[in-house]
Amino acid sequence: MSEHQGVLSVRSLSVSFGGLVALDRVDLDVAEGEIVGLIGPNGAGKSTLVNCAGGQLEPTSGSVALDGVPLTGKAPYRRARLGVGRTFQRVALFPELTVEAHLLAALRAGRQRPGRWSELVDHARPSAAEARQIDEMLGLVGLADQHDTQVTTLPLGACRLLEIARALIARPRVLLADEPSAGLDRRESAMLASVLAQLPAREIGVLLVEHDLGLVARVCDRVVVLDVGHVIAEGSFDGVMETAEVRRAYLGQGVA
Amino acid sequence: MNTFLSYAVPGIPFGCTYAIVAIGLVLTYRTTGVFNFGFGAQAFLSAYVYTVLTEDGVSVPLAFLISVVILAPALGWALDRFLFRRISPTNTTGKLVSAVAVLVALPQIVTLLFGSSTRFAPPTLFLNPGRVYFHAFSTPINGLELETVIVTVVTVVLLSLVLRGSQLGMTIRAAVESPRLLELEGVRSERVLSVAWMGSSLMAGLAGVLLAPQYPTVQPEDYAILLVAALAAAALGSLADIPLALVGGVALGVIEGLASGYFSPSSVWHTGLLPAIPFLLLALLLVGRRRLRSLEESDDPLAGCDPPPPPSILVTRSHELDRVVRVGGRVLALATIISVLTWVPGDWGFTLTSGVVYSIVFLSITLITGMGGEVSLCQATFAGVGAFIAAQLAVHHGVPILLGAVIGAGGAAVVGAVGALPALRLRGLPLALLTLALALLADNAVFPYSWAGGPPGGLPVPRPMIGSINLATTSSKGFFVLALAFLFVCAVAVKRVQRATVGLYLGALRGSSIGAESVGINPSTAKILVFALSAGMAGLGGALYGSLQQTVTPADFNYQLSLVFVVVVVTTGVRTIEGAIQAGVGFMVLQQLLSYLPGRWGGGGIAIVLFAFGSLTYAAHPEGVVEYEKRIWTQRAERLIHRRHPPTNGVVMAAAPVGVLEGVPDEHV
Repeated sequence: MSEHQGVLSVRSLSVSFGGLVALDRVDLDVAEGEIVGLIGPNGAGKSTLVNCAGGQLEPTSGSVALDGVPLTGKAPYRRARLGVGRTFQRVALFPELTVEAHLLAALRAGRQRPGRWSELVDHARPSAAEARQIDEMLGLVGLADQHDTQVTTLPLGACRLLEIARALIARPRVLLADEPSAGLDRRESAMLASVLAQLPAREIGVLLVEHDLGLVARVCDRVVVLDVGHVIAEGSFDGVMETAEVRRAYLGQGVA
Repeated sequence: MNTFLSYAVPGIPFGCTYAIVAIGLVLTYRTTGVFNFGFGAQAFLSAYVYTVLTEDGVSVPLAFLISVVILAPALGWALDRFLFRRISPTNTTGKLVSAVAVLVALPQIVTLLFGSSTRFAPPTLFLNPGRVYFHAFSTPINGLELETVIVTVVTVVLLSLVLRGSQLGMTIRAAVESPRLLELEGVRSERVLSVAWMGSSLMAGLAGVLLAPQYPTVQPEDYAILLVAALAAAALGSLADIPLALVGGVALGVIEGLASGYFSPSSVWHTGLLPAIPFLLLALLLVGRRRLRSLEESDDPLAGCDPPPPPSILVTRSHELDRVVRVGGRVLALATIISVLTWVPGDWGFTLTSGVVYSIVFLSITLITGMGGEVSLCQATFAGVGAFIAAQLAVHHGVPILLGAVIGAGGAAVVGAVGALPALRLRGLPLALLTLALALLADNAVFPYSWAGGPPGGLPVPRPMIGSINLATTSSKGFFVLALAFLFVCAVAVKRVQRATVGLYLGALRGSSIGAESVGINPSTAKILVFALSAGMAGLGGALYGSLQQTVTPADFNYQLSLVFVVVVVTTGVRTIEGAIQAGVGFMVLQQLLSYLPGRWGGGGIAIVLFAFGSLTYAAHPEGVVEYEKRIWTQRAERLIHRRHPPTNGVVMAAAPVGVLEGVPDEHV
C-alpha cells in the first residue's frame, strides 16, 4: 500500500489535536471515475481527513497525493489549481455574488487559469466559451435558469448543489464532498444523488463523506468506514455493513 | 543589579495603568465580543472631568466619585444599551467601526463642551506626589507612584474576589463562555453583560484618573498611547486571559522604564525606539501569536443561533436609483465644477479643491474596506508617506512636484505591500489593530525625523508648474482642475478593478475566504494587491494635499486622521466611488460651513462628531447611511409616481431584481 495509487491517495495519515488522536495512520485511495463513501459515527475523523486532503488542515504526519503529486504543505488554493475540488459541511458560498459569478470566479481561478496581470483590467463577464461551460454546469445541477440569482435567496438544497457546481466547473481530478446531503429534503437529496451519479463519466474521483447511508448505498462504488481515527472496514457497502466492527461502531457495544 | 532595578521600578506605575485598561478590554471583549477601542477615550474623559472639577475647587473625593464612580460606568452602560447591544455578535466589522467611532467622537465632544484650553495635571487621589515615602532598591518612591500601585492592587484583588467568589462573578464567567447558554439557564445575560460593561468602563476611568497626574497636561494623545499599551498587554494574554493581561501591562511599563534608563537620552534609540515600544510589541504579538489569528472564530457552542452578519451589499441598486443617482450626481458635479471656475469665492474654491483631493485619499478606503473587506486604521499614514516623499524630493532634489507625487504614490504602495506581508494571516480585528500599531509607529518613530516628516516648522511643498503655467500664481482654479483630473483617473482605475476578475475574486474573499481558497483564489496576492493599490492611492492624495496646502507637517497625517477617515467614508458609503467623493467633498464643505460658527464650535469638531454618529449606523447599513437614505427616498418617489400612473399589470414591480426586497426586512417602510 505504500505506492500512491489512483487519483487521490492518502498514506498513513495521522492528525492529533493536543492529546486527542483524530486520525491514526489512515490509508485511502480514490481511483479515477470511482465514488468512495467515507462513513463512520460522529467524531470518527471523516471531516478531518477531508480537511487534510483539501489543505484546510495540516496533518501531524503522513501524506496526501493527487495523481502521484504530493499535496502535503501546499496551500488550499494551490491544491485547487492542481485539481482538488471540495464542498463544505457548512456551506461556504459568497453572499455578495450571483450564481453565475460563483462559477465564473471558480472557472477563472481554477485549473485552467488564464494570465495573471490581465485579471487586473479584464472584464469579469463570461466569454462565449465560459458561458457555455457555466450553462452546462448549471444544467447538470438543475440551476439552469438561475444565472442572476443572488445566492442569499437560494434555499439550502440549491446552495449545496451550487457549491458542487462551483467545485466541478474547473474540471477537478477529485471532488471532496463533505456531507452534501445534510439539511436537504428528500427531493433535493434525489437531485444530489443523480448529480453524483453522473460524475464517474467525467473521469472525476469522488470522496463522499455522508451520514445518509441510503445515499451512500445508492451511489458509492466502495465504502471506507472510520471509527475514532481508524479504518475499521473497507469494501462494498453491503459487505462492510455485515462486519462486526461496523455494527459495533454504529450500534454500540454488545450488539454484534 | 541595582541599576537595573532603579530603572525598572519607575516603570511599574505606568505599567499598572496599562494593566487596568488591559483587564477592562479583556473583560468586555470576552463577555460581549466587542473590542472597545473607546476605552482610551473613556479614560481620557474621566481624567478630563476629574481635572476640570478639581480645578473648579471641588474636593478630590467628590471629583473622583463623579468622574470615576458615576460617570465612567454610566457611559459604559449607555454604550452597551444604546450602541453595542444592537449590533449582531457576528458582525465583526460593525462592532469595530462603532468602537472606532467612540474613540474618535469622545475627545471631540469633550472639546466642544469644555473648550480647548490647556488643562494642567490634576492633584493625586490621596497621597502627596511630592513626598518620597520610601526607597525601593534605592529608587525613591513618591506618592503618585505608590498610589497608582496601591489602587491597582486593590482593584485587581477586588475584581478577582468578585469574579471568583460571588454569584455575579460566576454568571459573568459563564457569560464569557456563552451568553446564550446562560440564557437557557434562566439568567438574563443582557443584564450580566451590562454589568461587565459598567465594570470595565469603571476601570478605564480609574486608569485615566491615575494616569492624569503623571503627565504635565491632560490631552487625548497620551490616552491613545495608554490604549495601545493596554492593547499590547491584552494581546499578550491573547485578548482572553485576565492574569496574563495584568502581567503584560506591568511588564510593558517595566520594559519602558528599562529602555528609558539604558538608552542615553541623546541616542537614536531613545528618541526613535522608546516611544515606539508599545506599538512594536503589539505588532509583534499580533503577527506572532497563533491564538490571536483565530479570534474571529467564536467558541460559543450556541453561536449558530445568531443571525449571520449582514452581507456587505444586501441590496443591488434598483435601476431607478441608479439612473437618478447617475443623472443627478453628474448634474450636481458639473454645476459645482462650473461654479468653482466662475463665481465661487477663493476660500470656498480652496475648500472644494481640498474636497476633491480628499476624495482621492478616500478612494483608498473604498479599495481596502469596500473591496478588500478589511478595516485599515492607517490610511492617513499612507497618505503621509506619499506626501513626505513628494515634498522631500521637491525640496532636496528639485524633482517636479507632480512627478514627485507619482513617485510618492509608488513609495506608499511599496509600504502598503510590505505592510501587508505580516498581515497576511490576519483578518478583521487583529488586522485593524495591526494597522493602528503601524500608524502610531509611524507617528512616533518615523514622521518626527526631519528626513521623513520634515523640520519642526513643516516642509514646504511647491505647487506644480505645467508648461509655463504656475498653479501657485493662477489662484486655486488651476489646481482645482488638476485635482479633478487626478480624481477622474483614480476613479476610473478603481472602477476598472471593481469590474475586473480581481474584483470578482475580492467579492468571493469577502464572502467566504475558505470557500474562495477552495476554488483556487490566492488570498495573499489579493490582500497584497489591495493594500498596495490602496496605499498608493492614499499616497497620491496625500502628495496632492501637501501641494495644495503648500506645506506638510506630521500632524497632517497622524493616526487620529486615519480614524476620522474611516468614520467619514463609512457614513457616506464605503462601497461606491461616489461614496468616496461624497465623503471628501462633504467632509470639507461641512467643516467650512461650521467654521462660520463662533469660538470652539467652529473648530471642525462638530463635523467629526456628526460623522462619528453617522458611522454608528454602519452596523445596520453597511452600504453607508447616505446610500441607504438615497434608496429610501427614491423608493418613496417611485411609489408617489406609481400612485399617479398605476403600472399596468404590475410589470414595473416585477422588474425589480429578486434580491432587492427579500434581503432587507426593515426596507418595507
